[in-house]
Amino acid sequence: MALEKLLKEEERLWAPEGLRRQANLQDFAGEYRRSLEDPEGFWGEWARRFYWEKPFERVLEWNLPEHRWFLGGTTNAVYNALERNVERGLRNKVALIYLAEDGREEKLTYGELLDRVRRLATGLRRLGVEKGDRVVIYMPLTLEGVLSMLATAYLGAIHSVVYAGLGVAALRERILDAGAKLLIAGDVSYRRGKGVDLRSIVEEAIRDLPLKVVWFQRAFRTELPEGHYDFQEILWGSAPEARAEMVDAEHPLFILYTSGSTGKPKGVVHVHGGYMVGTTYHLRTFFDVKDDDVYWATSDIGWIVGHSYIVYAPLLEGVTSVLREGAPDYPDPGAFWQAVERHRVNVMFTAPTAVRLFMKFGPEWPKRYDLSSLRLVAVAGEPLNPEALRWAYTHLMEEGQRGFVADNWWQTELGGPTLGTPLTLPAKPGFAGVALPGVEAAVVDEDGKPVPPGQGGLLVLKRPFPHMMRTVWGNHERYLQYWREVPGGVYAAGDVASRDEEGYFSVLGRADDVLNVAGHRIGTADVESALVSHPAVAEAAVIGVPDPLKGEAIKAFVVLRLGESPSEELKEGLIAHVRRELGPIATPSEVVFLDKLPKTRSGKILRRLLKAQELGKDPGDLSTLEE
Amino acid sequence: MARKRSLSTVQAALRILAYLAEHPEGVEVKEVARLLGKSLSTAYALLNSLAEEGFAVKTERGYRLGTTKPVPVESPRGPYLGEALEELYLRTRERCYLALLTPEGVRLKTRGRQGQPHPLGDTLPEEVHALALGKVLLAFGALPLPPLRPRTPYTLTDPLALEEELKRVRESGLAAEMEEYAPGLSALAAPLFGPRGELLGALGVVVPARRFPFAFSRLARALSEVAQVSPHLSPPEPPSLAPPPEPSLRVEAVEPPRTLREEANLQDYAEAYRASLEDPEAFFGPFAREFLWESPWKEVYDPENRRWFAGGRTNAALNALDRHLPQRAQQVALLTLDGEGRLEKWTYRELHDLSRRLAGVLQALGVQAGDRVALYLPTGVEAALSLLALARLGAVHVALPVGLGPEALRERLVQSKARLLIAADSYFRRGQAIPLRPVVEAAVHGLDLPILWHPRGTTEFLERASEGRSVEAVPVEAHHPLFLLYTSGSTGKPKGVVHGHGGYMVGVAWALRYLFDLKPGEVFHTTADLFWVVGHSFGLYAPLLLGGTSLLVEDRPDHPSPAAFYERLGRLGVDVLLTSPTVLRLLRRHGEARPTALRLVGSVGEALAPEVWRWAQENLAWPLDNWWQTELGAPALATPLALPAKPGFVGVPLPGVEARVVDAEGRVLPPGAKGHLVLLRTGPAHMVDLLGGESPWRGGLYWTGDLATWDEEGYFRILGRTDEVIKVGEARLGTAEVEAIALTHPQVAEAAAIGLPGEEGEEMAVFVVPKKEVPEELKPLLAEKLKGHLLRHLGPVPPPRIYFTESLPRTRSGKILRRLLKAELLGMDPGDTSGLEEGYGTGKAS
Repeated sequence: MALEKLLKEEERLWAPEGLRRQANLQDFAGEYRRSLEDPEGFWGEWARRFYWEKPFERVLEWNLPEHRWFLGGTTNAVYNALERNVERGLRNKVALIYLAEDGREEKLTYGELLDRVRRLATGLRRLGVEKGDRVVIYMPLTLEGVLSMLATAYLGAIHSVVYAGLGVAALRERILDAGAKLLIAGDVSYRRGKGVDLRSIVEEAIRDLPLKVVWFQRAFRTELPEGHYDFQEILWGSAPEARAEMVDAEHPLFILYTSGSTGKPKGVVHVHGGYMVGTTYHLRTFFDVKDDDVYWATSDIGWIVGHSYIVYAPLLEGVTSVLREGAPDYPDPGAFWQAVERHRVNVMFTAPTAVRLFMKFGPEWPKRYDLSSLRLVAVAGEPLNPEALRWAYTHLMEEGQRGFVADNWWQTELGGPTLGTPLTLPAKPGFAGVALPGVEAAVVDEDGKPVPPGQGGLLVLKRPFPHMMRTVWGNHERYLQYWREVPGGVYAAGDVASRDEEGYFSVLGRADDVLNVAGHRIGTADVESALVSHPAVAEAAVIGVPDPLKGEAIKAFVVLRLGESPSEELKEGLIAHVRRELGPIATPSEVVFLDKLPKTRSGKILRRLLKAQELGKDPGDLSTLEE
Repeated sequence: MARKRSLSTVQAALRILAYLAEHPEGVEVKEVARLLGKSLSTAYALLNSLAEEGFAVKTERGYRLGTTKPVPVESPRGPYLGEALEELYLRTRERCYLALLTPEGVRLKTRGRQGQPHPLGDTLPEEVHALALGKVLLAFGALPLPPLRPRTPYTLTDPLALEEELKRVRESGLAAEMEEYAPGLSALAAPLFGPRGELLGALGVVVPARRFPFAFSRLARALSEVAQVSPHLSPPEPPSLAPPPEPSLRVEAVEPPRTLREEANLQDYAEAYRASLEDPEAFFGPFAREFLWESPWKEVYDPENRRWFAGGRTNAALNALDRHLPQRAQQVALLTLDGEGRLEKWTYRELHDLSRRLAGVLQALGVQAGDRVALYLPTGVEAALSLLALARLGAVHVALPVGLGPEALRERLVQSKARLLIAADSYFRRGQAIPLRPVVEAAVHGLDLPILWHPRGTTEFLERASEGRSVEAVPVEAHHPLFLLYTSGSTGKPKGVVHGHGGYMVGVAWALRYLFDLKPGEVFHTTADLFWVVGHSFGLYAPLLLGGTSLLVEDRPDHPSPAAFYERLGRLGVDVLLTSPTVLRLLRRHGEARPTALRLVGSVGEALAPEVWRWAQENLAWPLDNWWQTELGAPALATPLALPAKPGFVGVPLPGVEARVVDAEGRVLPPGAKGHLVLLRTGPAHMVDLLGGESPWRGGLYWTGDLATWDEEGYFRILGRTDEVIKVGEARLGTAEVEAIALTHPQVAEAAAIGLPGEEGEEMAVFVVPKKEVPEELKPLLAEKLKGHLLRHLGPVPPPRIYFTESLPRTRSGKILRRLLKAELLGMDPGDTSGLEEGYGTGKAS
């Protein structure tokens, strides 16, 4: 066992030499050192690549735990992504390539994107959207979804994208928490050749809410009630008159909700200035994107990866970004590789769950296509198991002859890659990588004391960087908690990790009651409260169990109300209920009926015990268990 | 006599009343009609008005006598004229009006259907000359002529023309006005005279658009009967009119907008021109070196052999695509809008990839450098890729216009010795798929010619292309043939013009940057189809050579409507448009333009009339007129932004070009004289070879075949083809000259002038497409107006004949096929009409 572990630690996967020589960032160590020694000079220099209507006076103001960047500067991230690039001569360059499962594609150039964003922004302003207003976006992964985000931010309003796969309760909760003035919603998303109904979810979620709704109608164009508008009419019925609202660098750009262990989703707030600067830095240095690259992040605009690496960073850098609606293995398991071949994708950013899916289908699928353009596959969202890394390195990157597989770790709160393996360093299976420039990371115990290399502990960050969240929307107290959870004035990531002598971090999993299903963070409390909201359920507990594809799957333990009896129908009914409330990603794959749940004497459910029983492991200290 | 006729209503009423008295049991309407010898509706009308007044009562069985007795009244003048109004209304059932001359002035009375107040009220508006009724009053001297002021574009405001018009009213006793007061409405009016021949007033009837033109003759008859017009009544002397305005063809130089001028890529025309002639190496060399050359040229220009870049080896496709990678990999190179409305964007990376693979497919089919390959493909990405793939191999593409008939197609296939044909199975015109497969199959019957098909509505062609093995560009000599293009048949048999790689590449790219002023990041669009020289040079090669973005559209620019054209330009952000006077006239005919983002609009194909120039300038963007020919590859004469424009004059020779106006012996003519346009030197894009035709070079001069004049400042004006000169009387008139004048008339949308053999020299005939349909009755009137208009501007020549037609026969590149018009009039064989645009139903001449 020890020997095997040692051998694995010795395993190093390198990027091909030619690729390393052409890397945008050559001297990683030097760059890293400078980023910590002179953060103001380091980030200020990168920030000056962008347009500032009023230049910033100071780069950083750091009063633990409050951090503010580019003080005094005014700018607009969308202006920098569109006008700035059009003026640089990129007007006719393809900005976005939308792909549908059926092979249909649509390209938008920077010039067209600017024209449409201006039109839509004009239309939104006519509907009353102003600087600082919140606009919730519940859209399928489409050009129109991206347009909605950009047009909102163009006006200085704040978008809050809700993944169009979340259910009624999740959507309603986010609309209410954000205090949204307007909702932009799609009527249908397409997956596996079928339409997935979003309209009825939206209609139920907004029942009785005084909210204007703009409908992106693809399935049917219906007569809309008062206060509801058609997306295309708003877009094409408006002239491209709106101009970018220049805002303070610290003005919120968006709110993105993420699950926590407490049950209530947290609205992570990112701001125009720092987010723009930080995400683009990593696009160039970590993802190693060149000016003429075609870049494809396979995520969705509903997640942070979609915000940073489908929309903002690629557009800010003037490169071509691909988005594809639908399932990765539809119409066949070669769908992704066909798209890579057809559009000569150079850099791809995907999730471990997708890599495991490709592994399942076998190497013959990527082999059928010409992947010679592909230089880099970046992977993030959950720990990338060594087998998946090796498979991608072998079968996608021709044993590293073609390119590199770059694992990386970050969170909604962190905006961009935080730990990762830059292509000038070797990849180590099982390790996400090293702390990236601007990041000072450590593994500590519960008292904040560093643990020796190789030992597990809590992953913490010792200083902020520009693209790190500023607050939790409407709950600054919750923000402060991130920095108070572990003593020593550090940001607690909530993950358990270990670090080796060379500074490589291995992220092992969540330290709290949060599940990671196919890269999506799901609070156990969310699923439990959804279950309890079913009339037949008295109590429920949810744990994550290992899943070969999704990483983790949800298993639910349910205590029924008196008079209800377990049945297969009820099981299916409960699964359907959760699906409706929270969306398909939070659906339990298994439901078990119990007479009662193991609890501590203070009444907390001991999920640890359930998990240990499930996995046949030692449940550990059970002293607090209720009799 | 006048009295008797105008009292017919009263008399008829009395007869009806007498008849009713004889038949107390009641009378049917048809009996009354029979009695009066009038129509049923007239009888109805009379009976109804009698019933309204209580003289008659309506019963189940018709009408019988009412209880009150009619009291015959001796009609003083007023009521008598009022009856004329009533009579006209009863006869026509259209709105009628009466202008009554009273001591207090003109009083207006109207009779129309209820609930429709007359827009005029009871006074005449100031613009009386714009009303038929007013014209009558003016013609007979009842009113002084008011100050002329344009009211609508359709109203005659030219004093001379008005004078003629009033004279005609006096002669005919009838005034007609189209577009009376509101577009779509016309009116007729006639004078009312008293017993001593004095003018009492005028009577008029409106012809609503919906009755137009069918009701016209009926209404005119009714009006003249009621008004009892007597043309022999001697009218008083007409009022004197102001002198005519200056002819509108007077040339004024117009300065381009300042920002355009200041930001122009070509700042100093004079210096550039001088340098280009004195030292072609220094002038064209640096520009040419922006391109990739496998080996450099020995000499930029060899005047002896008229060779450009001799010794240099390059490839136009290499420079159109490979040169831009990787920097422009993701930039859109082509935007294609096919006939089914599908819009697609093709990046440089995609075009490069697909064209080099298609080259592989073609190579596998045996195509080698120097081979000729014919294309019968509509404008679209498949055509563009085929051209680029063939150029890549050093093969010669021979694009043939789709729609060409089987015989013409076969002739060109045989003549060009094509070893492969790439053909589409259909193309789209006005939204309709038109099959091409039968044409192709008939054309190649018996020929040993393989065909590579592009089945429309499928991606088969592109898929097949993408399966090929990539082929690198073959460097060729600068004068190695790039393409062969048959010139459109406006002058008889087609000739095969051959262009080479090197000079053509430099010439077209230079023109796009320095004449059409394309900036990086702009979108260029030409409405010319890809298979014409304009499409080759500016739809494909020049924009790609400069790394620009070009929009290609398969269907007609105005399909499905001119509004769609503007919408398309706006949505796709087209900055610079290159189109033809035909398209501009068509848009002008449609009326007001919609706003677009256009910065410049080039016009090529034939002379751009000043009226159309001005319309384009006011409604689209700054016009860039330019003149060239298939043989020249790129503009030779034009007005670059660095110079003021003179509408009607195409402009000055561009760098590398020397032009003169000479007589038939080649002697240079002074400014102002009409003569043959010849070139002493031509630009780099000049053809490298000519197949099946007489060389235009004779005695060291390139004879363009066009008639032109030039002015003291060196601006040239194209007057038409020399074979389209009309010799009327002493004068030699260019067709374009006559047409430009015809177009200045507000009612003319398009015009074509031809000469016909006459007793003394030639007779001039002008075919006119009116802006709006003209009723048959009014055609003579409009024809007279036009004659007067033309003669006023042309001077003392015999009056032309005017023919009205719905459309003019044009070649598909937009040139008017005058020879076809001539053949039609003379009943001769029109010759080769393969270049004729479809949709021209032989225009009905009158």
